[in-house]
Amino acid sequence: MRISDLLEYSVVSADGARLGRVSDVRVIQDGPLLGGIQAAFRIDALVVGRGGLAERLGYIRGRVEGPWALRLLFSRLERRAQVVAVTDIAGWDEDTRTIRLIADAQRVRRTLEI
Amino acid sequence: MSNPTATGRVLHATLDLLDRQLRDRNGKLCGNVDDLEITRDEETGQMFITAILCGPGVLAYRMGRRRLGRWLEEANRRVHDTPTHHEPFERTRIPIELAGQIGPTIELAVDVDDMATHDTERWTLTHIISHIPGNASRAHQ
Repeated sequence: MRISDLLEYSVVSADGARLGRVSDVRVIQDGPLLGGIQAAFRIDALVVGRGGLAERLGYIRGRVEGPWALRLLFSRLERRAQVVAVTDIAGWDEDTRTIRLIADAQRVRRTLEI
Repeated sequence: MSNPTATGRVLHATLDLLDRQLRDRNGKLCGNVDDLEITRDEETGQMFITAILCGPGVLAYRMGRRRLGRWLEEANRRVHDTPTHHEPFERTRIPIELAGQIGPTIELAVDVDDMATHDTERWTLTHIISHIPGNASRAHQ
């Protein structure tokens, strides 16, 4: 699978609520050693939902600080993003490009923390 | 839930990896990160980024031109063989362990000649430009 494939998937909670499409992937470099050189890049969570404009402009995850009005606007958009841990994935449907979660929509974390 | 105690470096793939400039072991520019390969462990469910993908067709695939991208990748694979003097890997696929420093640019432990990034230019130089009388350049191969 490629990351471009993953970014086409929609995420559905256990109670059937559509949370949106995968818009980014959070990666932590803490996996097993690769060739004795460096730790593997483990995919920890999927960032789901959010308008694409904020992402394209870099106004997400605190990467761009100003102008303050735009930062305020896009920070609000950012709060709509949801983070889904990979361990919360119940199953993949390749035909419909859907990821089903173990948890229902209320239990999915709503904050983007780094 | 994600692992809150994880101590490794945290990256966001589309922000920190995709479209980043690549440099080879000699510091030469050698393309951009067009896509990333993900491998999923069926037993544990864990997923890892296992390779950087770049070269002809890869970006087309990512942009939604799946068939065109596959065709370009396959055509390039048929024209340019995998280097035999190097640890075998496909020319469009760079194992992630060969990626050193990741920042504004990503430094790779490979030579640009072993990558597919400039294959089209290389082919044109070898098969067309070098045969034109009076050309000042010589083909690499």
